[in-house]
Amino acid sequence: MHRVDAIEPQGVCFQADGEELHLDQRQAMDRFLAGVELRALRIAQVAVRDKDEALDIVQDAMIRLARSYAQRPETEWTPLFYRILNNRITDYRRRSTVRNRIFSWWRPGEQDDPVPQPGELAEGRESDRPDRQLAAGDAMQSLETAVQALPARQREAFLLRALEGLNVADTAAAMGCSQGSVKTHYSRAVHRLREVLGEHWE
Amino acid sequence: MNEPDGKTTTPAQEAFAARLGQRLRDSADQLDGHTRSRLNQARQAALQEIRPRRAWLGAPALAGLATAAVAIIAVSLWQPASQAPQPLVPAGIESADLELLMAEESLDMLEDLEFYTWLATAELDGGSAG
Repeated sequence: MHRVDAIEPQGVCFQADGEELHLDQRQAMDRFLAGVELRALRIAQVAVRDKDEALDIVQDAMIRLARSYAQRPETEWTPLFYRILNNRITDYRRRSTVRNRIFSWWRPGEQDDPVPQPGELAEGRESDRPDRQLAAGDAMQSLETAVQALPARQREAFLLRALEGLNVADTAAAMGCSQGSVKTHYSRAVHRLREVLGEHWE
Repeated sequence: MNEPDGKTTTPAQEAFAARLGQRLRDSADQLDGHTRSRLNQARQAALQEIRPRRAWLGAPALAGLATAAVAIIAVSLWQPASQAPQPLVPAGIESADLELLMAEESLDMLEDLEFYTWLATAELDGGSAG
């Protein structure tokens, strides 16, 4: 039988069955992570276009959630996890951009940027254009390319709402912005994706 | 079809977004066994990081520690313009770029700050961190 003694006035908490509570906590976290890991990987993969990097990012987000937030209520884990994940993705993209800028300085003429920046799509390779990929029959690749080309905040809002299925409030918590901003980013993302993919996906 | 106020989505747009979301979810469900295995390993590694429910000792001291940590970080980040070092990087490369590259975890600090803030709040609330 579990017995948790009262919390002392000074904030000292004694738990008679701490090991079992820890086990429950671990099982709950295991269930949570198992439930989100596939979609989290897809979100990271779409954002960074590299499966190995995406796996590293997801693992890092998992570790950070478990290490720092396991004791928070389970209802908070979803927005916390995706906030960490988005931070990791943003961090990766920033580093990638800077790294490529420096490499291009050292080696003029060589461009090796695996991450497209917003608005870059129109100037990218012809084969990267979603309409060309659709023509080649690769619908999923065209979808990923179109989502990758969205501005970061629009991409985050779209993936969290449409792929992960978060509501507006949880998406706002995950993105660290207001619900109104989420609605704006999401609406613009959907509008843009419909412009790019519309006739093929209607 | 344009949305009327830039914030709302029409039913047609919602249906469109739902189709895209479903395709992405389907592709997630179809990830190969090797990838799933790596995710499982990542999850197990994360679970090892869970710290047991802690017995909080000396709440005021911990709250003070959190405050001190925030203050130290703030002071370390503050730098008068007159003392700013001259850039030693080639023209065309901003020093901020190098700092970003060399930083171990540029966003860790923000998350840690958030954690310390929560820790201090939880302690002030009477140790109801869990």
